[in-house]
Amino acid sequence: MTRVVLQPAGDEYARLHYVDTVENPVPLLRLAEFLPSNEVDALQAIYEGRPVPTWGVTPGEGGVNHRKWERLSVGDVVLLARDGVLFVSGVVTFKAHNRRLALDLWKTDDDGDTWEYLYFLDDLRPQSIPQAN
Amino acid sequence: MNEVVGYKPRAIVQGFNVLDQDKSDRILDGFDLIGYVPSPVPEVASVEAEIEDPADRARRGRGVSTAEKLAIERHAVEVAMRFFAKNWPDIREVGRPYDLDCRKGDQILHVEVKGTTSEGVKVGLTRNEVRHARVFHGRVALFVQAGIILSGTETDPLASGGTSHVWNPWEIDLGELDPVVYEYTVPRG
Repeated sequence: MTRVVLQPAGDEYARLHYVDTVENPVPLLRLAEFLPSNEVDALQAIYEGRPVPTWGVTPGEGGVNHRKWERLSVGDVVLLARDGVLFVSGVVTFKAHNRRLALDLWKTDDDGDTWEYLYFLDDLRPQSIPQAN
Repeated sequence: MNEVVGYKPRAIVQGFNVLDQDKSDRILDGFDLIGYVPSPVPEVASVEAEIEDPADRARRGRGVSTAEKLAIERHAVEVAMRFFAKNWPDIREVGRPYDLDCRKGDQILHVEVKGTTSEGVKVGLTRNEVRHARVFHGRVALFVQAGIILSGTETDPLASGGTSHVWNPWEIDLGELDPVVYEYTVPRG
């Protein structure tokens, strides 16, 4: 069951994250510093040495994002949105909860939260889909 | 997109949101979100697009002509559609990066179809086909129509017959991948 995920990526943090870890995917060696070996093995099998486009969400107020992240599945299609346009699509290949990795990749937001509910993408495709009619 | 999903016209994405299946299906049907990712190197993309069954080339002593290749593929896809139609009421041809999209209620199966005049021990796969099989692991099947008979002429061929082999689910890494072309990033300096 492939589902579509809408991922806002227009605020100041998200714009930086997009450049840092999607446009410039993360080497597996960096991920391996924080992920358990079974998760590293899984990513190695998927990416075969290619760096890994990586995204994450904060827990959200009352854990709202965490609950949504739990519903995310491998194979789901993520649409990144900014300025009213869905500008990139990608397929979820793997997900992991790892606060230490998120802190290393992105630090924290103003509230001290970090984007610890991570998911990894492949088949990134530029899109130009206006959201409004 | 709002029109496709049924949102209000001026609505914008406010938060991380996993859409329900109905909205997801409408977007997936309405936009080309999953598909062929060509190599950034034109020569490699060209080779990938032209990949053919290596056993066909060896057995015939020459590469198959474009017309023969198309006839083999067409025959294999038609046989595969008849095969999967027994259990999947809704089937459509996709082409890239997989051949058939099969649906039954909320179940989805992607099918990679290969046709060959050989015994079907080896088939050609593009990088995108391999990637797709891994990403959609558990929801992908491989259908190989082997031993297809080519008749007619090189420019006006007819493909027929053959034996069907199906791997469902397709565990791609249980087979052996042997690269026939690399994309090489040259050393700096």
